[in-house]
Amino acid sequence: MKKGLFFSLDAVFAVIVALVIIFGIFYQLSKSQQDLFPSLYLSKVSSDTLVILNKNKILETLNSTTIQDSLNDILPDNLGYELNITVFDCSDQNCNSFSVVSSKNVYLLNSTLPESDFVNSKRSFLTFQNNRIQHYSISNLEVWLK
Amino acid sequence: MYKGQLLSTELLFAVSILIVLFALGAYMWNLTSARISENLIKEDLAINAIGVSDYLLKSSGTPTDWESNVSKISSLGLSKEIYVLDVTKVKAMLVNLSYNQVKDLLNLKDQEFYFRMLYTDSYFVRIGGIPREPVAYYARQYPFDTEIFELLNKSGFIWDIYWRSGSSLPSGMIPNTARNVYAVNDEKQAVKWVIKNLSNYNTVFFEDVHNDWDEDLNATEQQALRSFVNTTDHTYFQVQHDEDFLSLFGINPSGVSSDKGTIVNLDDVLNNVSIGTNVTFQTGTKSFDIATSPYPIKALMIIKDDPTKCLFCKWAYGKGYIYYIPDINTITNNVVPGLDIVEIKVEFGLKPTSEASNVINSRRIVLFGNNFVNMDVMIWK
Repeated sequence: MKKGLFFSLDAVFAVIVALVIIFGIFYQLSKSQQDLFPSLYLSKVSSDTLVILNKNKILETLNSTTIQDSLNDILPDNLGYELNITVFDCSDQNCNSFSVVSSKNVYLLNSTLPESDFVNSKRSFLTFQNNRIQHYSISNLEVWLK
Repeated sequence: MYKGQLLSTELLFAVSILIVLFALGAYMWNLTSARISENLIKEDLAINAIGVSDYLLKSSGTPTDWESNVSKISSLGLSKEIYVLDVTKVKAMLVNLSYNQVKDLLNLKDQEFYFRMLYTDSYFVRIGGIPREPVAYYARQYPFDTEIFELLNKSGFIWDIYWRSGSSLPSGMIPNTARNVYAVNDEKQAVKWVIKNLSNYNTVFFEDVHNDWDEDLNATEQQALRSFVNTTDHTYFQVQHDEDFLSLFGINPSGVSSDKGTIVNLDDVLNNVSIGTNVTFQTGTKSFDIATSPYPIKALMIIKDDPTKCLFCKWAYGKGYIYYIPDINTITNNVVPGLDIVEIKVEFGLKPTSEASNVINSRRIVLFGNNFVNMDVMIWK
């Protein structure tokens, strides 16, 4: 009787180990096959948005209201966004180095920041005045599903 | 004997457990492999959808001017520069290419394809005609002076009607395809309703308006109508009766009247008619002086033999447009030849049915004219 119990416990232990291994393998398999389309879609949305805002010279305005109006027009309501534009000026005449012009930086946020699952795109652009480079800017747009 | 029995029970137990584990493993294998193959199909569709949309919005196609001779096309692209779609190419695809041709060009052999373009407010992009719905339509008299009603009724547009000559529409105007009907026997009230609801529309038609703009509308209402056109790409389209109503926009008729016009230019709303075609309007129709126009003007019709006076005119007013046509109720069949407010809805291919599985929509944001537009490429099986 005692010997039998010993063997049963042994078997139970073996079954548990086998189940853990089986579930572990299938969990890893299914995890590696998760649908990547939503994050791909978000990444396209954020990069497309920066490209066309750059194309029609809205980013160049460095005007928060103008940029925000366009973002609200372009992006669907179920998306949150955070846009950061950092503006640089040439530090010397040859533009060998740059310094940040904090007063011209743009920051826009349309909802509370997510803790994870956001996608971001970056795009740099130039603004000109009298056919000369006025500013060099880097825009960083993060988007997420609200 | 006892020992043998013990071993048999143990063996039986072990085999049972093995079978259960094997069955569980097989079940999970099937489940996971089904999920994996489903995901592979989805992934394949997603890659195709994104690839096709990328190609359409970044490439001009081969040859780059394929739209001028579609028989020579070897690859399909719709852009004139990246992310800026070319109206002529989009139109050429819609009109001159078949579904199977487009599928071949995009290398979509065993997949179905649906393409559409929507403004960011979700209304379809249209090429030619009046490009933007929803439409507000104001009318006063039936059966005369309702040519635009007839055109809207078969347009497929989302539109509302404002009827100023009774609390219900005349029986001849029912049934119709209008989304909403606003009817009142009060000329002033009907116009005020249109202006109050302007934010619902992208295009406004006034047909046979008899109002005095400076008496019937207060300053705020006047400004609302001006802003509707000049601050966005909206359209104001007036068909008679009172040319003076246009003075609201600072456009005043000249003192010269004529009922004889000649078509001199074509436009999105005036097509399929020969330049030089003569048209007869109602007697006493006033014209607009082209040289002294306060805004850029395009004369679609001039007074016959007087190129200085416009009868059917289009003004660029800020970001939008104003159209004016004289009274058309005396023209044969009540139709201005070539007048068409509807041309092409930008939609192509097979719309996914409710039975379609794994529909992947690659929505991309592009520039079309001056507008941000959503370009949807749906691939499905």
